[in-house]
Amino acid sequence: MDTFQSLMSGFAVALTPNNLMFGFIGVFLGTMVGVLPGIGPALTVALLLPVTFKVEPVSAFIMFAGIYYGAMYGGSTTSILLNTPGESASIITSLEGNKMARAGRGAAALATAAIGSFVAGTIATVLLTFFAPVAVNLALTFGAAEYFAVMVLSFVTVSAVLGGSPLRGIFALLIGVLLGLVGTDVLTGQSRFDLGFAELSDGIEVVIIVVGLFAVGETLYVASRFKSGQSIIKLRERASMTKEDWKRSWKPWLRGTALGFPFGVLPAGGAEIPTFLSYALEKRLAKNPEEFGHGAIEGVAGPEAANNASAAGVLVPLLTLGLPTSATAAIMLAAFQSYGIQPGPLLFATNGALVWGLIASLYIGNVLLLILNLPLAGVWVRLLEIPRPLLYGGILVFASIGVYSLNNSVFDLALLGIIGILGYFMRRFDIPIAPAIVGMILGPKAEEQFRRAMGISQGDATVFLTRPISAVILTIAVLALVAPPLLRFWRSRKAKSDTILP
Amino acid sequence: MRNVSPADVVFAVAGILLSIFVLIQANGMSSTSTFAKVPPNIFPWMIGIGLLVAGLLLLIGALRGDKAEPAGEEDADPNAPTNYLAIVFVAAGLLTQILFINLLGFIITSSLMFAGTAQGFRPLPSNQRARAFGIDFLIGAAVSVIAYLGFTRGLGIQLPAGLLPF
Repeated sequence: MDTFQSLMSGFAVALTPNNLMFGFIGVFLGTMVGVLPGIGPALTVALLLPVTFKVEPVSAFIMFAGIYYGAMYGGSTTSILLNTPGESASIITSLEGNKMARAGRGAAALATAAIGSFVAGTIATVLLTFFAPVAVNLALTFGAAEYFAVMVLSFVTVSAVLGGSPLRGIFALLIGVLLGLVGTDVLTGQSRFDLGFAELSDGIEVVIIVVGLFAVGETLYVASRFKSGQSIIKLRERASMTKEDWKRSWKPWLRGTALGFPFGVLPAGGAEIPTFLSYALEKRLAKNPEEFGHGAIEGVAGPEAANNASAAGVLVPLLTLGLPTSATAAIMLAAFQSYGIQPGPLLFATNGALVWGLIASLYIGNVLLLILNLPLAGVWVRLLEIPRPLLYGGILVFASIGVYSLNNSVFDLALLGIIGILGYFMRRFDIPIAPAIVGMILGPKAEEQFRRAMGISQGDATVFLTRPISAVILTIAVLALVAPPLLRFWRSRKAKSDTILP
Repeated sequence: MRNVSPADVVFAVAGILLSIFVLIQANGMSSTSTFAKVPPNIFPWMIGIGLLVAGLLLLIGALRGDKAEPAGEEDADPNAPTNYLAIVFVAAGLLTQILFINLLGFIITSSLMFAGTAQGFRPLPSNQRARAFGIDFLIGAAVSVIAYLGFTRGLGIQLPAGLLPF
């Protein structure tokens, strides 16, 4: 009953006119950047970080959460109508969604995506409401060794389990941790990697790295391989579904939710895997699987629900452990830090109004997003028609405002350019961006917990293996890293021996 | 025998060079630490070694014919050849902003950057370029003036005025 009361007090916070307005701005901006190519939720939150210092933390986080949720809704619009998914979690949606749109069923695809996102988002928020306090109780038993172990697990899942190549993911992670270590070591005063620049002695601002990798890197890369004149499927009506569509959609929504939430909660990183799993599951369960690949509505409904459910799940480790498992969550962690707030189990005790106001705002945000996305689908689609030369020109103008205004420093702008070039090469050579962002923000925290644990154990490194929870988590991390290639190796050997012995 | 992609080899070598730089830096750091049990150069060492191993594995892969597949973004075609002229346009715009923002002011350099970036997304013959640049400059000026007034007057953020009187 305690949780319920906390939630009600959270609604009292989230429903004040001021916070309602920030929530609306958040979901509006989120949908917009979700639809627009070249700009995503991580970049948007980073650009808004400096502007929000004058705002109450709870209002800022309600807005950030709105952006995070809204971008999930908006991203599905792009992947259905443009066939080129903006976020990796939308890849699966475009498989069936774009086929449906080409066959004149775009309105139904958009509707099942939006309503499915609403159903999944709301159920997952309920799960978050009641699961977060449980996770807090677990987190309260954590010491420095356990925190370090969970961070290692998060590193492994974000970099090695997701994406095509574990090697390239880990390479990205290491680059990110390296960028995160630049500056003066807090414990010893030793300067690290600052190359003698006084401007670097306080470290590189998170905003510069995020804006550089996302906005500048993306603009350089897209310009280098620009694909002009893409076919956008016209849609001027509101998104809606027939009775038959409803009948085919509701079970995939629920199954997608059941798959997505746990993947978000465990530091199993991001929304991609559950969308793949949901798609495979729906294909297997479908009455007419031959329709898959030609526009099956189940193949939109399930993955979209999984995608949004995992987005809500990601907030559980972020709020209870301070552990981000996606790029946007990592930047929200940086936002907490810049407000001087430490996410973790104590946050629920010390900043109850903030946490519960934020959670309550998610319920409101989902309703707002449903209203924004169903009748107004045709309006958002027009955003896809913005001429790209002007869109990318504008992105760079706002990127440079965001970075320059941090310290009124030209040095920061130059750094932005250099990190932008890094972002270009990462895209060119298939090095994923998300692990670098998580590594940059979580790396220094992992170092801090590592040192704290070693300090408590008097320099005995076995502390990570003698404490049971830490040992279990580290074992899972090693398995997550080693198991997939081993399985592949055994399978290929088995396949070989099968061919030898007919 | 598979074809070796020179670009992938160069990228892997760059990764190895970076790891050597990190290791040299880590070696130069003080490793004495009385206060904390872990000296400040343990993590740099771990990153350096990790980058070295990853770089070597990337190099071995590249020499065996692995080719990185460029990212598939919304407006990008991973299979298209690299358009270097477009990169030059965008980079020149950025460089203008970095070098001249304090001298000329935010509005002028941002308009130039906007127009330069836009050229990176306009595949045009060179005789039409000047006209397109002029039009994009005017649009960029409109965007920059609105952004300048909005951020400086509305949000109290400072941006350099430069040559312009406001």
